Amino acid sequence: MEADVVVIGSGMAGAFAAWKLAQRGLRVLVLEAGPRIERSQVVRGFATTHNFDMSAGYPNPASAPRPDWGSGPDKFIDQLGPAVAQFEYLRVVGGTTWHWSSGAERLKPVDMRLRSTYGVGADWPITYDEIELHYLEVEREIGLAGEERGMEDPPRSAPFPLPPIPLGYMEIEIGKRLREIGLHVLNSPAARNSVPFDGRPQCDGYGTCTPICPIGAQYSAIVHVEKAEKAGAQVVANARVDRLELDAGGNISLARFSRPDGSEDVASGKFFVLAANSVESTRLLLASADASRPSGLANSSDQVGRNFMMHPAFHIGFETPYPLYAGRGPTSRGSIGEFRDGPLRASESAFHLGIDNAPFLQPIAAALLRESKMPPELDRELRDAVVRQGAFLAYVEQLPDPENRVSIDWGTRDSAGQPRIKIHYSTGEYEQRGIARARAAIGRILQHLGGRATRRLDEISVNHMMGTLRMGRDPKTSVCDVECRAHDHPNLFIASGGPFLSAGTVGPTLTIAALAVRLAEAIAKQMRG
Amino acid sequence: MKVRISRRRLALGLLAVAGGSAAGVWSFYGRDRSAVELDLPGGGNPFAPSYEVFLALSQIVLMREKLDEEIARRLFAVFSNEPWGLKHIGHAYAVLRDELAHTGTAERAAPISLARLGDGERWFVGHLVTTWYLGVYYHEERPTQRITYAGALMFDAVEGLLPVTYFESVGYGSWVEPPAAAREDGKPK
Repeated sequence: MEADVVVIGSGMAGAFAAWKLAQRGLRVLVLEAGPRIERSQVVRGFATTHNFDMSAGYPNPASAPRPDWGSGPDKFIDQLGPAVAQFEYLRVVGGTTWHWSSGAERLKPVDMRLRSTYGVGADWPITYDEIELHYLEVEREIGLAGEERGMEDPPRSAPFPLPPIPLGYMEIEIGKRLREIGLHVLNSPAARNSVPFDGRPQCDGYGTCTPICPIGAQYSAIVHVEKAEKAGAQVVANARVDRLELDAGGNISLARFSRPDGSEDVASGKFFVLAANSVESTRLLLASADASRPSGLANSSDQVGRNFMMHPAFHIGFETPYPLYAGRGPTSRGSIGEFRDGPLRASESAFHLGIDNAPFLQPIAAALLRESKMPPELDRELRDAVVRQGAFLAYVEQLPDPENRVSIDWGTRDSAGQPRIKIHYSTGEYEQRGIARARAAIGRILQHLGGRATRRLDEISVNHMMGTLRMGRDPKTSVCDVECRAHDHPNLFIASGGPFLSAGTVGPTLTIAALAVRLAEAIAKQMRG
Repeated sequence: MKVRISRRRLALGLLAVAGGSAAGVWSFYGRDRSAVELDLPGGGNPFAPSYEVFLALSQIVLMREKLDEEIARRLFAVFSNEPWGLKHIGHAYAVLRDELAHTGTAERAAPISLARLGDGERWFVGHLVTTWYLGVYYHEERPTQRITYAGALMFDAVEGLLPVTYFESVGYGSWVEPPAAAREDGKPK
């Protein structure tokens, strides 16, 4: 198979890169390790599984395995400790945005200038202003619903494309009370249709944004996979790339891929876009080592896999003496905006504090049944409890640390025969102080709300994988340049959270897509000569 | 045998077994205070109970006259196959039926009680209720399996307050206000 550009991975980054490149008239081939899926198939999957985790309804084929926390600790990734990096991703056409929460916020300009502003972390080699128009383009494409909120929001050169999705009764009630102590519940920008948009319907309030919107009102990258196909791109599912190979000039010459039946093939191209998320992309580069490059491709700096970042997260369920009526409508609508920045960032993490609108019906019912509650008392207590439940989801920024590292184990293989992924992961004092402050803030908030915490779920999955393929101007200390082009291989571009130098306090998806559009423009420009 | 039992009386008995307090049982949100009319089959062989016996046992302990037959048949198949399953069904039903025969009309004073059930049958009743409510069958010696999603009685219990996720929506923007079921009751619950 042959194309101008071979894109490896079809999630948010791959979809946007492929769409942009195909629009520019380039011959684009997308190789996706996992299968194509139908929305109705996934809904059926969730309705028939006994597993309650967010990936349970999605395929997990042996030919393209993925992390799975549904039935106990994941065994796909070898966690070397000392902390556990709990994250999930999907390996299907369209990628992990099938089950994201659609939170699509921009980094703040200061998030990209941590070192120069607060003396910690690292500065990006590009500025917010350099990607602002790319943010805008992605927001228009995904139909971002939102509103100007003040609170030192990132500057915008145009309004949000769609009107905001209204906050729910719960957020409004909490917001009223928190204003008394100077906190503000803000409407969270969301890639979810507040009005019919782009052939997709308005949100109808199924309340299952995560793990899947049954009607497609919530944006998923499958939208731009299909747009890329309409623009001429070829998307090949079940094509797991196992290895990249170089030509004599140090450019990537081909991608070797395997199908579930064991057959193999190759794809060649003028350019390659590695868009297989920051963890799988790292594995592919390291697994492409040969005698001339024993530490893997793009790794002359020894930075591939280093500086892995997530958003260490925790979840605190609570109940109030008054009703909140959570669990109706979108699962994430609002957050408390005061903690995303400030001078404390010189010594501790900023954090995101979201209000979780999940229904929690099943865990509440299970808890009452464990207490031997029987009908009709069971019904009465269930009704009483579900309307007074809420939850906060907090996640903190993590600084890059070269010792937080994704690597591979040549000695053990996963079900697809690929070297197993290993992660060495920890959080430092900076993050621990941020976590402590987040817990204290929730404690104060609950006290003011008259509520009490009901359960605490530490180390929950927040699937924000960043770092590992860091961007920089110096090839000795970074993997890719400011256009996300690998220093070592001029025709290889990296599209994922891998190039990030800071994590900020928002999900990385919008920034990943903005960088993907940006690198696609660079490729198109070079193709035009 | 036809019996007419009040939900409250049955609840009092069940609570007594569960060790709970009867206080507050009256405030069942008024959504289903009507008496439950059950047509109870004969017990037959307590070691080989029929599907009808299983259904009647479920109706009694769930306090629901109408149960989904397809789900009930699936559950009967699953429970029949677990260790002591048929014995538990047959014996629990025999005891409760006998109890109802003596106290089962609305006019009689004595509450229905699970107190006469043995430990195994009491455990089984909890197991049965759990499965009906969660729609998932758990047993330490059997694979966990989803029996039903939308038919799980936890959704029935919160009808009007929460949708059956994946299958029902609440309509755009309705989440700004309390759900209609709460408003109809005249107060936020």
